[in-house]
Amino acid sequence: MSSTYTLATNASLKEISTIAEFITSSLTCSGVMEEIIFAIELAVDEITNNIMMYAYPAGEGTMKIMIDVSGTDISIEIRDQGKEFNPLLFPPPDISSNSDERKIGGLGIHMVRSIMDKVNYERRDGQNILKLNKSLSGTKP
Amino acid sequence: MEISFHKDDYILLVSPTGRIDGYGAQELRRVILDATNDAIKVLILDLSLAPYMSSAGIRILLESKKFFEKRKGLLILSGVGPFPEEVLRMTGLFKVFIITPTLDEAYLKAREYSTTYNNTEKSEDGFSFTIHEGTNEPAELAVTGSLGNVLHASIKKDDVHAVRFRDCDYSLGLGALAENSENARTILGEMITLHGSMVYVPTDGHFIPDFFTPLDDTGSIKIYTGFNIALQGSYQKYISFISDNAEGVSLSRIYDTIFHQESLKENSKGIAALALIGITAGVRSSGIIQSPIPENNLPPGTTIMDPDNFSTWNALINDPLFSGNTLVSFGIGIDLTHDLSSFDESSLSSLYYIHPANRGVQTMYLHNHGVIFRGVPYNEQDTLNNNIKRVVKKGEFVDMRHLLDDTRFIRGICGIAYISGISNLAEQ
Repeated sequence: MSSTYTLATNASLKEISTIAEFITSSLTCSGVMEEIIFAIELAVDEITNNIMMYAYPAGEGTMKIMIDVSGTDISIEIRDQGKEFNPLLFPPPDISSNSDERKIGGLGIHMVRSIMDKVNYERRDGQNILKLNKSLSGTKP
Repeated sequence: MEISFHKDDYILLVSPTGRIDGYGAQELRRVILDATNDAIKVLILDLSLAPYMSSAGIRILLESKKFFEKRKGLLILSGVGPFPEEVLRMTGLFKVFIITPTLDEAYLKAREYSTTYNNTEKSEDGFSFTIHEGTNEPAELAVTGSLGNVLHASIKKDDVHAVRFRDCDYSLGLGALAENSENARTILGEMITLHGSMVYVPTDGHFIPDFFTPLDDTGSIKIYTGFNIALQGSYQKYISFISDNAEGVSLSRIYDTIFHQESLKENSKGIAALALIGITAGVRSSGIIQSPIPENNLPPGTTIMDPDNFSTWNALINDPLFSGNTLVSFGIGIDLTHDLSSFDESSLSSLYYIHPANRGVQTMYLHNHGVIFRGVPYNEQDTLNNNIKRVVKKGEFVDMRHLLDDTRFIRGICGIAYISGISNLAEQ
């Protein structure tokens, strides 16, 4: 059994709560546990924030979020028509260091990687396409 | 997102309610920056009602931590929920922050922190202080012009003198910057010089303070003044002090201590100059609004301080302003209960004026000017001179005022120069 949910929205800070509500309601409908929903919300939040900052630096643009839940697999696809931008190319942050003097870039995408099982980027037809996968049978919180 | 904040002395509590995502983080950042005045040393961020935090929130936490550490302060996180904790752990930052489970514990830590800069030894009614030794050299006052000319609005062409910028490390009076002395004379206003910078409020109808620091003073830059008191020499004693309550300690209370406190009074010959940098609990002030020259037609035989003339010559602000900002002041105090016969009589009389109605009643005469800054809180561990230099150079200039004696301070450092002689430059 599979359910699909889609949200098309402006890439704007004002829409962050709309996106969060969309994730929560979609995943709640599919019976996903609350901690997992929170984590996925965070992952999508980080990705959409990157889109606002790097794909649409001038501020105007739209994006589309598709969620598919089938069995124990959650897959999320996020598309935008902005500048080519691959968040996976961020160098990983040095999280072993306790110092706060280290560079704070790349933290968001590091969290996405920690939460999800698989993250893929593709540039196709003038679109940035990011695919996130998480298996609920897995062990990550 | 709702964000409330509460200030208690040097502690700022900020409590966001809702999600600290990209949008919430921006709001949080704005509130923290707006609410942090120079008095604030410790920020407690109560996250108990913020169940969600993204990397945007973490950035604000890191930024705040750096911001407070730079001002020798502290950031404490309190009530961090399971999800934000997980986010902090995921990014390896959990151990970077000081985190307390409850707000009570956060306050306990914040109060402990005050002992790192408040180690006062002596205590008097309302405030505590520590005395540090300064130089053994005597200090004198160099007076230019006469206060009487100011009060009687009788400053004529010959009464305006040019003083060299470099001769006024610490001074206060009435002055102006202009092409020549005659142009300066018509816009003379409240003036202070601090370590190579001069601030004055021209009486040109606009009253926009002019803050001037010559980049390369070769000695040729001159200040025109109708009356000026400059300190020659340095400070023999320093006091670091802290008020015991939120109302703060008044300028007159500080001078009273300088003249009468057991271990300080032995140095006093009745006159002291005071340079002070601190956090104000409210500036009460006045300022001259017309240049005190004969052309401005003060009724003969009266002074600009007489009740009938006061409001046409002075702008009085009795409401305490600028609370929580940094105030740098310089001025003099005269202990009228002290025998002042060791001072040259005519020089002394050029320095101060007591209204006849107050003779025998008033116990002190104070004359202090102050410059209000923000953004560069003073550092308790550093010297007075370094602090003043740093704030004058890097602080955001807010205003300059003639201080009333009830101007108050939350805490600060001051230098005291006990004056052993007065010279009047204009008379030589």
